[in-house]
Amino acid sequence: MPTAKVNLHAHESQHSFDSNTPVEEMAAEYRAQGFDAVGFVGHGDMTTVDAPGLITINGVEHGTGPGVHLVAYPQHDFYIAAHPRYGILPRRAVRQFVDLYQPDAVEKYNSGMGQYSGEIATLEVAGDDAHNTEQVGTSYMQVETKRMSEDAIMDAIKRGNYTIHSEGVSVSGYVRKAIDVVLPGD
Amino acid sequence: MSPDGVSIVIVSYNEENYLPRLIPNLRARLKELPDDIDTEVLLSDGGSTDRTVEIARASPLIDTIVSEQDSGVIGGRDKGIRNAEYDLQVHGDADTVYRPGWLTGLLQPFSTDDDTVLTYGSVSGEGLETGTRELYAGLLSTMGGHYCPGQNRALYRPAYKKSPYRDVPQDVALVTSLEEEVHFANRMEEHGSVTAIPSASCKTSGRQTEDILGVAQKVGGVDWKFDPSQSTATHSPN
Repeated sequence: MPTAKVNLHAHESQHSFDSNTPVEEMAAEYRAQGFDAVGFVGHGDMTTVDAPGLITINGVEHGTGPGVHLVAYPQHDFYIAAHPRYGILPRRAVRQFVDLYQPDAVEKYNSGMGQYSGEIATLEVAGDDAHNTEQVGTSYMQVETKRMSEDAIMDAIKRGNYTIHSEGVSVSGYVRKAIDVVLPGD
Repeated sequence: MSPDGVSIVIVSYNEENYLPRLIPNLRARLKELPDDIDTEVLLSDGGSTDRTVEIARASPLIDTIVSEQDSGVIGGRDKGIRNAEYDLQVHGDADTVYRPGWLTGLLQPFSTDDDTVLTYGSVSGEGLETGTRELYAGLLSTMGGHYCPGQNRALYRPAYKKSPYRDVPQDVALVTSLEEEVHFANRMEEHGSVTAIPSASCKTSGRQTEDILGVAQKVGGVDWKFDPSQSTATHSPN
């Protein structure tokens, strides 16, 4: 059974106002780091991207208030609580998010940083939340998939057939996260 | 009336960005219903030109999709009402999220009072609309009237058929709002009980206000006009 290197939380400039890196450059960096599949999400904007040599999964990230966001892949009926940062966010805010969406998964690692993940969802995933090439690869998943296809990889993730990894925090990612904590919205 | 089934009717037009937020939210709310109540989720779409229908088709949550051009949000609701499987219906919008207890709260009076024909909950706006809808509802309540939000109500279809929506210029925001959120509830009251359930709450996007103020370009939904003289009888959302 092949193993796919996967990230389910990435951005590019066409669909995310806070990225200035086009999908071609992001995809080139992901390919260079050995990724097989990347989920690109726009801030409040469903992506429509495609990149040769990389399985691209289109989705959207919704701001739901300060901190925790909803990363959505509706075509796969799969929803992730992104960077909950429990302990910084009021506990009540995280509970409200869970009450609203009951996500399928929560990011255990985001941009290389550990996130609070208990009580939120059964599955714990990892994503680098990269907005530029310097932030690529800080967190990722190794997915045991039947085939190297979008559907097979997402099916394997939903079944929990993966491991999660973190390889250090990007400084620019850390600064952006700190800003996210105090700013609401997408 | 003891409901054996309920249709959740969602109106949409080019909602590819909002539908992915609504679907897990609806999924969470449906889990709160008793197991013995059958449900249908129907998307009443105005002929979207983006991926709204594609996303809905891919979602196991959405049972029925009716996508054809209509005359705006009221036309979309009417289309949903008529195409839904069940007489007991809950109505929502794609750019809205619903808080815990919303669905059960709206439906509860139908189980305990056979005279109930309409229930409605409360709405708060997001972003720049924060507080505006509460103000609107408060003013109407002070005058003894209903503020019955189109995206947060449950109705009994046989009563609706006696008092369907009136034909108004459906791209004029004020006219549509008065018909849908005020006059409609008053007419329904002629056929039975209309009950406000403030605890059945939701929050809706502030996209209209943000568009008016030039903060963000509106994506999806009806392209409202604010001057009735600019309205056209054959409007279609765009």
